[in-house]
Amino acid sequence: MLSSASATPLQAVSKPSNETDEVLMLRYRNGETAAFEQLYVRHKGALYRYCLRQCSTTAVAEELFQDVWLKVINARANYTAQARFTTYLYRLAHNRLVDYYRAQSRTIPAVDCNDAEWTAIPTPACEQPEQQAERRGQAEQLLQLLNALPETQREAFLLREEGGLSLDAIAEVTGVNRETAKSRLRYAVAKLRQGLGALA
Amino acid sequence: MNERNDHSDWDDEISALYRKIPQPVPSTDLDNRLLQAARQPVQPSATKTRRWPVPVAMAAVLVLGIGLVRTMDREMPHSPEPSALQTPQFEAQSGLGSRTMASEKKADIATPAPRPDAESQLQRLGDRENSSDQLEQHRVIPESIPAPAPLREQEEIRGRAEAEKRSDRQGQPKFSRAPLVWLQEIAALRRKGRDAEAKAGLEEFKRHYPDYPLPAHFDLPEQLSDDL
Repeated sequence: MLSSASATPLQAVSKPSNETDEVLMLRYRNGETAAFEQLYVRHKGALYRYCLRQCSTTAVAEELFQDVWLKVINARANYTAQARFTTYLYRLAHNRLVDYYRAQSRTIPAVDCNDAEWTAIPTPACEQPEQQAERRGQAEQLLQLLNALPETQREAFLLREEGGLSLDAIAEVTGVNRETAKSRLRYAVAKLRQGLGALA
Repeated sequence: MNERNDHSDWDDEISALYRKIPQPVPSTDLDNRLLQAARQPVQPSATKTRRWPVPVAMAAVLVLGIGLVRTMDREMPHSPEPSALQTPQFEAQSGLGSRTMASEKKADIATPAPRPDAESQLQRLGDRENSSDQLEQHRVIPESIPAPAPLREQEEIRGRAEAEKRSDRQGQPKFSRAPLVWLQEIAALRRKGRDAEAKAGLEEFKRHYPDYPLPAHFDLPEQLSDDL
């Protein structure tokens, strides 16, 4: 298990940098720990939320998150900048998530969308009072709608929203072709929009 | 980093709303643990060291096995099957009559797989060369008794085959003509009466194949050999 005895506070070591992720990772591979710290600061929040929004608890999310970063750390000697770092990072995360699903005897549904799923989406909040249609309420509702999405569509949305990945990168990370990734994302957005109703 | 321009279906309003959701981050303790791990030097992967022994051991076993088999093959005395040795003898008698033909057929049945090796070819060559002598000899041998191959002849055949194999194994230079072909040519020259060329050819042959045992009539003294 990792020790936190001699850890340096993150705020003290992280400095903003204009270097690309790939350059930072290569510098880290060559022994510059500070480069990793910058990389970590850049991506820790998004990756953590990507994990958190797809599993049940904070503890599980932290475990997945830690495993992904440890893989990056342990495989740094073999890192080559063949793809974007974010694609590499989220591919590791996707694989770890699939392992988690398997361990939980869950499977990512192969079917992206059907009529039953459409009807399962919560009804729009059109009946709620005007005060409850505030942005904050809508955001909370969006989170609920997100949780109700099929896993593949939710993952596509999170890769887009949190990771900032392109369609090609989403396809690469999730191991599907571009059209499938596009379809998943389109369905996810459409369902969220339909769920929010009045917002559209 | 943000590559959303390629997606026309992206809903900026939903994206903006998503940003309103509380954005949790990992705990400071987790941050520190990971940064601590990142500072550790790269550990030599145990799998790299474990990756080699099995293939190396398999290769070593393979090399040793092949070496052992080859050594045993070299050191074991070569003993051709008796039936194989006898087959040419029956073939030698093929022109002598129907009774001999029947014997030949029996021999073929007894030795199901034909052996087109050096021994039988040599025997055929010698038979052709000595056809007149053999005819004389067979006239005096009773037909009812199949003539066993003389011990000297068997040894000679065996010696030729071994010498041929030895020359193959020891990497002796290969010539454009195989020894048997060469000897056939020399015999043909003799039959045509071109003894001088045959003699020169035989000397050349002996230079190239000093260990190759010649058929009996090739080993005659020079004055007799010239008479052939």
